Amino acid sequence: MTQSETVGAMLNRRGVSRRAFMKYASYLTSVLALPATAGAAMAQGLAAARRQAVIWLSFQECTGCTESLTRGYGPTLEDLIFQFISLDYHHTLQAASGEAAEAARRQSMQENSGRYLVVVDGSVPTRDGGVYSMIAGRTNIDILEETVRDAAAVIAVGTCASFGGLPYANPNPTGAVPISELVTGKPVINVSGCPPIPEAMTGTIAHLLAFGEPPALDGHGRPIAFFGDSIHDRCYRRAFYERGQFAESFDDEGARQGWCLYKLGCKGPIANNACATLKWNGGASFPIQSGHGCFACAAPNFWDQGGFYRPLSAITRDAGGVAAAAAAAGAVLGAGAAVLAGQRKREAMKGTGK
Amino acid sequence: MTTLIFNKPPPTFDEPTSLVAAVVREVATLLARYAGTGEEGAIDLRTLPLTEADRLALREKLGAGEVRARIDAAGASDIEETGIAGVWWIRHEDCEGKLMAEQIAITACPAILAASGEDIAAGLAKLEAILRSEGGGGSAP
Repeated sequence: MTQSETVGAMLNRRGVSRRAFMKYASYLTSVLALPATAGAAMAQGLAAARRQAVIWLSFQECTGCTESLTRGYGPTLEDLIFQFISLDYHHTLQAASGEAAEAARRQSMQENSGRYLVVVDGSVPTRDGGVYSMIAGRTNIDILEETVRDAAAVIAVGTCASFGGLPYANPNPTGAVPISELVTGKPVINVSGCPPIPEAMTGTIAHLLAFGEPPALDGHGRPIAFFGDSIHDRCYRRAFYERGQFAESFDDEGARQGWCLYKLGCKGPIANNACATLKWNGGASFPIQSGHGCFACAAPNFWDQGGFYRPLSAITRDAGGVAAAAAAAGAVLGAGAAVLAGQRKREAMKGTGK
Repeated sequence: MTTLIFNKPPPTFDEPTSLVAAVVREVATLLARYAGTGEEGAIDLRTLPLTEADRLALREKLGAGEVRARIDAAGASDIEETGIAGVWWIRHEDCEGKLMAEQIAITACPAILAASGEDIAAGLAKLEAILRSEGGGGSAP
């Protein structure tokens, strides 16, 4: 596909039928939680779009975000998204290395000035002049500043890039900061998660392509389409929560019966993400379905929230904000549920010896 | 014993939840709007936490209609009119049979069923090429 060819023309040339494309648009519409009738507009926007240049920068990260993006896909309709973008620079995936790789980045920036997207995974160390993460002899701060200068928008993928993540965790020895603290004057979209759901990354790019603007964002700069609902609200185990049926340990009868994992530290009520609906590995499962509570890995400071296996109701000192958020989440259930939550809190406190 | 937990499918509930009535009510609202203004509507079922019992109950309430169509484009798609005229149940699968999208659409006929002008023009060109190769010459009247 040439840079000037539209996505629609390219797909047509490759034998992708209009109906197949409409199916893909329906899928994207569903994934992006757009009104179900928006499929036609999505299909029209994508068909008219031109291939998008993308520069992917990797800083203080573990490559889990890239693993998620590349391993989340089989030979399916979802592959279409990779036809829409030109991934011009990515340490892990590109064939070029050394000076040739850096030259590819500079060339893409020059040829697509003002139009290219920058995707960043990893936080940026700022302590001691940023020396704790260097690429080609340059600090991450320096490379980021240069690369975003003529970008159209920046997508921070993963919790490290969005909120600092693990490098940012107490005591934050490298002075790590999220991308949004360093980039100004450009749209910065946070697609958090450790790692993020592949569809959240590709869906965000598809929205930018189809509609020419970022999707609606929440207070943390994340697409509401993927982060608008709590895991708890969309969890299939929610019915057990309502019935007061909880697993008390990972090998008791409740766990075997698939009951709610709230008492085992599940952070579903304060975790906004799409794991319960989109799931992982091609829709096969998600952590709670596999028997483990949610970590709230897409939330700011999730690593410092007072223990993965402590019930939310038992966390009162280590993470004041978490308890407040849990109370807020519970508030929508109404007064009756609040009484029930109070009972559960007392029971859970007994369980943890508090 | 841990293996049992991982192998076990998500538990299901025998009785449908209150979500079914909520969806049926929304279908009724959208259908009334369509009948009055012609504005199409749709409900995305994939994002709703429907249990298997809910799904069955919903299908039962809406019933089966007269039209069923299967599209074979990048995987199968099943388009079925329910027992309520103008209310369609649409399922899109990918090439591996994985459910990609599922919705209830409120419209006279889902757009994906209709042939587009571009496709019709391409079809005509194809037909003319067939006629030429058979030695008939000329073009379509």
